[in-house]
Amino acid sequence: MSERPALLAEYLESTYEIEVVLEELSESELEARERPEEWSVRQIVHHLADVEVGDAMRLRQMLAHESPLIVAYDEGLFAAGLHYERAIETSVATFFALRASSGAILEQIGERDWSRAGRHEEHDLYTVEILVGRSIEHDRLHVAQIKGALQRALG
Amino acid sequence: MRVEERVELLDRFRAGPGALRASVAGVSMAQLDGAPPEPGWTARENLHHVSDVAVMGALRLRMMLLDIEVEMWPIDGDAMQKRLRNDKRPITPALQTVEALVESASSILGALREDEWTQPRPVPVARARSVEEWLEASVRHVEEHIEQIRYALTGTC
Repeated sequence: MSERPALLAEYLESTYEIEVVLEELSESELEARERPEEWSVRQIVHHLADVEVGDAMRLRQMLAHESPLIVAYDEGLFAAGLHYERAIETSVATFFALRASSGAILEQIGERDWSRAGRHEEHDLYTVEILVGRSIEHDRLHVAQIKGALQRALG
Repeated sequence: MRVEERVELLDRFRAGPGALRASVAGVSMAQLDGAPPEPGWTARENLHHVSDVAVMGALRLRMMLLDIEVEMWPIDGDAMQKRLRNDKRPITPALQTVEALVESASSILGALREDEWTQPRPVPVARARSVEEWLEASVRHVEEHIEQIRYALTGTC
């Protein structure tokens, strides 16, 4: 039996942890970092939104076009150039809206569509299924990072 | 572009999602999927197209601001309609996506320095060579498709 329904469910539900961890954060908590050289919670939130924008486009490209070029991003460049000092509310809304919208697409596609691929600049194989799996891992990684930063802020 | 023109354009940009939502408010499923009088997309398909182009626009704005020199992908609207099953997709996530992306872009645009608005970019993005031109194109695209939705729903523009 296909594991894709479970993967899709996880993709949609993994946002829940992010929602919980971002609830009612103060301005000082938004500036918390797990380690001095790492991103603040605020920067991580903007990063999550920007990655979700990129992934939403990649998903649509891979489904609609034949083997599209998937451009790799320099996340440091994004953080430095996109005014990550901004308030987080619009990035939070962007992240959740895009995840729901991409999830709605994944709910409609056929089994074979999960294997549709793009030509990623850095990975040999990059399919819809891989993109979804990586999104879940990415969520987990940053939820842990936010929790670590908040814990450190508590002393 | 004069500052007043940019402010007016930003107002139209931020009004787009509300106008889009209003264009399909109270519309039945049958109306949403009704074929327009001339060959073209249904109201539902137009709405998804606006949402999918908004995703691309959001990425392009970011790439443009970072001067990332990559060829920006052309969008095949008909292929997207078919392959993304836009005739079946629910419209609420698409409307919420447009709303969130416009607010997010407004937040980024609100943080820009004056030179970031007008600076010519090395790679044109959908023929736009500056953030101002990106904004103009984004506003125009949403407004055009709201007209097409009206046409699909009523047969008149």
